[in-house]
Amino acid sequence: MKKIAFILFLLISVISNNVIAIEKNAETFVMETTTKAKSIILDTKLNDQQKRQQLENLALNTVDVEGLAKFTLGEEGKKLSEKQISEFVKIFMVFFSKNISSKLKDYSDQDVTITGSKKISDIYVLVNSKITNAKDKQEILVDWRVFLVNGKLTIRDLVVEGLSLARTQREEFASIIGNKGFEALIENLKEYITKN
Amino acid sequence: MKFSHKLLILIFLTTPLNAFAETKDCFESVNRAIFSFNKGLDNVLFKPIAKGYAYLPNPVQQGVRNVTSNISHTVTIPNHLLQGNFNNFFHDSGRFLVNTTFGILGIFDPAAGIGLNKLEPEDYGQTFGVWGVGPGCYLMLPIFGPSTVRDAVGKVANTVLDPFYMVTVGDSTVFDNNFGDQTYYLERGFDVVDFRSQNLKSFDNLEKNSLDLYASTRSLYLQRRENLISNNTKSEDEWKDFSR
Repeated sequence: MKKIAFILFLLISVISNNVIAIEKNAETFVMETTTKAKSIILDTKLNDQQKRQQLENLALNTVDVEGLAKFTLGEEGKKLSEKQISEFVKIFMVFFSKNISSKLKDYSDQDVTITGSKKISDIYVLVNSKITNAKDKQEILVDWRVFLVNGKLTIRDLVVEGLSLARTQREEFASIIGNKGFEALIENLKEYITKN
Repeated sequence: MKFSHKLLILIFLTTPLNAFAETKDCFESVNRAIFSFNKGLDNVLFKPIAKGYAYLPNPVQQGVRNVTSNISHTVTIPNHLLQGNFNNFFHDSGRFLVNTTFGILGIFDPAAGIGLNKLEPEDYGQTFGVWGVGPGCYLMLPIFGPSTVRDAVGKVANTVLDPFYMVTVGDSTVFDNNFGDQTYYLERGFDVVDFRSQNLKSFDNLEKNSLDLYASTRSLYLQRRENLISNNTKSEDEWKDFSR
């Protein structure tokens, strides 16, 4: 009886340690990512161009851009050929890195605090955080959808005050494809990349 | 039958009974034209005013925000009741009472100091949603911006059933006609300008980084309304079934 109780105890400990492990790892991963982003933004030795370049690299290393690209195609993606999807993913990667660095570079006086996390599946953790504006102490709730892809933690979506950036992007792309077609989306992405 | 009653009946007859039914953009070309008009109006009117307003000292802006937020309780409180949120009803009634009296007409927020923190606003559009009324078609209203059929009817109810409107502009006015009108429209104006001013950077960022600003705005508006109706800040999770 004692043996069974001991084995059960061991089993529960191992399982709970694993649960805590992926959640804690995801929290640490988000904290490290935001700390790196903030240090780039606040680095006075870097000019705007260098900051953007480093933020682009950080985004490409910490976000599952390929997964995000396919998610943003949504139902429309099912109507496309492999060649079209692969062309889209390639352009989306450049678009995404420029887009995210442009969004981030203006933010500086904000502190990120991790407030908790929830394991959704064996490879998916939702990390909750709070971003506080140093000037007026206003708080914004931001959730990070972190996945384990090929053994590496990676971000797939940011949910700002309940608004999913990935869903917004997908609905924007669906609107362009619905109104003007897939080629127009590719053209719009290229135009954005050229301008930025 | 009063106009407002007719409108309420109309919304139940014209929208499906599913609060989270997919919102179709039935009038997209007209909506896009109105969106362009609104954007033009924002560029020449609201944005410049909001930019000027942003130069006011923080305590002044906070005071304005507190006053408009306090007045919005006159719509929020009855809607808590209509949605069956009794705890929130008592919470916001207490908050309104404390801030209107000790907070000098809402300029200050002493209620937060005694644990009556600000809750998410409620309105008639949300109440219809909680009752199961679907959003109907997506609408872009001139000046007022993004909406749906349900929320547009809700907006009318937010005005004509609002006690603050009734005592300033409406039939039950307790003020001199001109003073009442001025008070109401000044408060509304400050509410809009304060909101715009708080979002100067985020709106600019959205405009700069969107390929289709109209579609992004529509998506963000609909997500926000879904969250407000479900009283949840968690976004719908469509990632669980996603595979590359």
